Amino acid sequence: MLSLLIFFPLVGVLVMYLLPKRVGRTVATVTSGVELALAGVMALLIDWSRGGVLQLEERVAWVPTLGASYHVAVDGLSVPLILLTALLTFLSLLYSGVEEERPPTFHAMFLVMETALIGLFSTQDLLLFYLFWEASLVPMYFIIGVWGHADRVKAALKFFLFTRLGGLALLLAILGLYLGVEPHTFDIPTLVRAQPYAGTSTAAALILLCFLIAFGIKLPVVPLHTWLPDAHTDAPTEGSVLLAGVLLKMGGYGLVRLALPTVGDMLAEWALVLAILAVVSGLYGAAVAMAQEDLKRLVAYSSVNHMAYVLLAVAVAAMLGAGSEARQAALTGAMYQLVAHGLTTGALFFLVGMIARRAGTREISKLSGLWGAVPVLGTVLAVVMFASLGLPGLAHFAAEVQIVLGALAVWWWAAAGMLLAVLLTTAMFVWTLQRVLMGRSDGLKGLKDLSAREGVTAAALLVLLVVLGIFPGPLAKLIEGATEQVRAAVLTRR
Amino acid sequence: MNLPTLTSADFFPMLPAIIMVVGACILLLSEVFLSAHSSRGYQAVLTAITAVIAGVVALKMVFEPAREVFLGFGALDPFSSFLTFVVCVALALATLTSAGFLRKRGAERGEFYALMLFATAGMSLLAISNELITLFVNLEVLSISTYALTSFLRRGTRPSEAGFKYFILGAFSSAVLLYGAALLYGATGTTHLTGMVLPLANAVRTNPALVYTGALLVAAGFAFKVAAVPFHMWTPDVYEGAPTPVTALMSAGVKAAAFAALVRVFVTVGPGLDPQLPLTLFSTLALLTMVAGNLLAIPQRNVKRMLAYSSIAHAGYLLLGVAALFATAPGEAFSLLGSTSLGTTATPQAVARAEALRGILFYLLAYTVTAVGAFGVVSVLERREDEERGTAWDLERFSGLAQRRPGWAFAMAAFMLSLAGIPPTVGFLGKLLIFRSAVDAGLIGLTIIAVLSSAAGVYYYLRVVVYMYMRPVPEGAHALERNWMTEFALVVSTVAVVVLGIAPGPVTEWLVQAGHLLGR
Amino acid sequence: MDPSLNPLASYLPLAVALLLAGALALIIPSLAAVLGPKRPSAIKSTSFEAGSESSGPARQRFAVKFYVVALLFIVFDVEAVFLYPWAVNFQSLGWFGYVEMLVFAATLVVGLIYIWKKGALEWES
Repeated sequence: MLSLLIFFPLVGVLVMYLLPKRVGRTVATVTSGVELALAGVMALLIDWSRGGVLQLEERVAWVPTLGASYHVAVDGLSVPLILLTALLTFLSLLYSGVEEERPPTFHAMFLVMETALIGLFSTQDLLLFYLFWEASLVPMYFIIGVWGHADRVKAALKFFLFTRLGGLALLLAILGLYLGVEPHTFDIPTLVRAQPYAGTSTAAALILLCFLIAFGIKLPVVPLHTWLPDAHTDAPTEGSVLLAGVLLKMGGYGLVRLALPTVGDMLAEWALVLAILAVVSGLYGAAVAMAQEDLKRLVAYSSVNHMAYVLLAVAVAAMLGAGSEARQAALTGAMYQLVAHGLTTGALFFLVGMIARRAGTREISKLSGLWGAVPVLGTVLAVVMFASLGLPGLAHFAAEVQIVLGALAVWWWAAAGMLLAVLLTTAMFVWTLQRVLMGRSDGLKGLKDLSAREGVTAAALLVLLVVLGIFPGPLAKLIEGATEQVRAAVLTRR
Repeated sequence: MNLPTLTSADFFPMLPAIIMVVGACILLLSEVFLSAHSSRGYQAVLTAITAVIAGVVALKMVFEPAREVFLGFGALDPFSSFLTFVVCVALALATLTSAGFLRKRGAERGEFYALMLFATAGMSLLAISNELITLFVNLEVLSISTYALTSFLRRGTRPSEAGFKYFILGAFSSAVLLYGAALLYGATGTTHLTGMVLPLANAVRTNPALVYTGALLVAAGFAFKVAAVPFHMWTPDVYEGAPTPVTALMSAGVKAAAFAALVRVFVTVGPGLDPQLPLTLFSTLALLTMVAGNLLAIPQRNVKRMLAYSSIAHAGYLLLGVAALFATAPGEAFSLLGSTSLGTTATPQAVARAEALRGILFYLLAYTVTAVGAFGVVSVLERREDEERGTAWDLERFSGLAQRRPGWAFAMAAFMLSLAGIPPTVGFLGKLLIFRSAVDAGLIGLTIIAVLSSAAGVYYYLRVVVYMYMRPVPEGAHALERNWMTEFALVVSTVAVVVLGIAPGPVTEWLVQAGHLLGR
Repeated sequence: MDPSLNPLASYLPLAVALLLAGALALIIPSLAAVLGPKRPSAIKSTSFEAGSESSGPARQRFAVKFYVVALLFIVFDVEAVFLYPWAVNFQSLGWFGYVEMLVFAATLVVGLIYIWKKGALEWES
């Protein structure tokens, strides 16, 4: 089942190239639709009450001499992100063509990336993890570099170089883990059981440092974030959606899946520094977003703010002093935050794309009175922005509250800093809404409101944002099962 | 009279070389009966088939039990056999790209292919040489053939300059190597590598200066052949001036063969030397070569020169693997001819050394399929007319290639990603194996430098991709001729780069075999 | 010095002989130059060419053909050197040695055919 889920998009790519060019987009969209359905089936097949157990496990020898196997399985950490990936890829492909016609290769890149991402979230083997990690990089590089906006080549190169550096750091960390156990293996569950780097040591510190560089670049954490605004701004809308919606999640997922269970003690040692970095990132992201003139850049910087919560949650979870409940709550919040951010930021980039296509500009000062001109689009934008600033009843609220409460149990100042960041974000979004939606709409008269395709894209994300905000229960329970497991791994070491 | 007896078993390890020499003779004989206008298409095919047969034989030999042959002058072991296989792969792919290249220049001759075959036979013999004089003779067989090949296209200043430079510096380095070998002989009274170990241990005590000067001179000679910094000065000019398929063979085959000899000499005589010597030597060389190779490649706008510098950088990663080989339990004696099976009693050090050796071998194969493919794409894009002006290999030639020839662009992109070490390509697995051995051997600092320098490498490899995919087709770009043989080679290389990157299964099996022999 | 300690020691006589020969070669001509009578004249300082009148400058360019022939001569001459020890030991080498030498000779024949057809043996072309 999982292998089918992982590799089905590649089948779509093959079919695309066998059929004539003009049906390329249709084939790609249908493929990703089927893939979404498959992901749904996968979600139905697993037992939601046992999120901590690896399910749908498949294991085949791959490079036996290296101790690497093709080992895939899902648990509460993977399932939400796989669903998110499938959904956002489908919506991106559905949306593609709204702004301009794209060649089949463009769509093929999305399908290849979907395979890499779903593979990444479901693998239980470090080498495979690394393989999928880097494999997701190449399609995104082409998407930005070939089909992006003005400064695309430079942005793509910057993105590639940063992520590649992170990838190499990840490789070193993986090698460190691999060499730590006898016989050498890349198998994640085996490594977590063996705990080769329990306690603090130079080796553990080096491995953690490598992990932090790798995941910190992806997440991104100040000061490793400088690639992000350029890449997001210059990527085509569909690319930005996937970049912000899913690729950033790789960093958070990696921290929870790999760093915490293997070098957790070392992480606890450094937790204070990480918490400070997280608070700085949170405040920085919000403050810089406020200063942006470009709507897309604004959304990009708000990601820095949102992802800071994830880092804070990981730091809290690693802390020894924290009550284990608070710790687990923070972790669950972090995973929930990943999903929520995927949905809101995906929606925001879609909306910015729609606005830019209509108004011909993304500059906030040139946009005003959007509400009057295109009421439906304006309303959707307002709702999504409110979700992004953490309005209760929408997805982000549940996640951020859990993380801040978790942080309160450890460092009161971190919680306070994050609340200040929330305040800044709120001010930033409300101010933006005021500038974009209100006012006179002379320049935007006669614009068409949402088309059917745009409507479906926006509606799907909107509905999910509301549902996840009002009923966080089932998903949170699934995630909790997995975070319980991570906590157990951290606890048994002591 | 007591004569040593040679049996067919002694000749067996030479079989690939013999096959190639026979092929070369057939080519030479058939060439002279052709008129100037005869079709010479068969020559490339014949050469490629010869290379494939020799390669298959070499693969068979990987599974032979390791032993000394020819009274100790040669050694049959999976290590040399696998390297013979690698050079045969390099030859086969380089040959297929030669036909179209030579035809465009009206220079298709049997001698070219014969020289390629002689050079490769020299490489395969170099890999099995276990005695200093034999080693030197085979090194010369391969060197002289490549000197001739370098200036095969006589017209123009570049080939002459390249040939001349290569010949002078090559002869100089051969002399250095020979002098080193003579000093070692003077110190020990034997030229047999295996027989040298014990006398060497004595000589180190009585006359250390002689031994170390000898060892360092031998190492310097090899460093020249593998293009290690600071012995790399000739590489860019020679690689640029030589016919592109020859450059491909040089960068892959000559490098592999020189590494084979270098590893064999230092692994075999290493126990007699100061245990720290090979480690210090190769760590230093690796450090300089990786950093300088990558940094010098960055400003290159000439793709052929860029690939030359990248070839230097890759020699650096290989040297890192060699350093790792000597870093596990330095000073402990081990032999390429050890028992053929690690068994259950293998020490962790033996396992680690076997892994390091596997890493080197796999990396050489990975680099071969990738680099020969990349030079193949370069060769189909260049035109004779532009060579004198030096614009034949400018990055501009790659502008918009994705629109003109999507297949070539895809292949080149795959090669560039593989050279940069990005999965899922074979180049990544090669780097993984080398880095793993280096980390395992405790060379953490060196590995971090390797990682950083390879991150810098991404920049210049990606620039080619940028030009192919993100630049428009230039005005008045010349037509791109297709050639089925070259394209076939490109397909084979691309498939190998991707498939071996995802499923290295069978190759790792051979490597297990090749690595086992280190278990003493 | 005990030859078993230093294998180079056995070459000592050779070194002595080399030194003596070198010294003699230096000493005798210099003695002649010092002791011999000197009566220089114009005819004596012209270059000696088998007794006949010398013609043209001494530094003439030779046709490349001479070099080719010289090269071929050396190649085949050196091959012939290998035949002598083989012939001496022919009995004890047996069939194996015979076949070996056939292969060796066949290789030479290939080379011969090649240079023949290439026209390296034609003087006028």
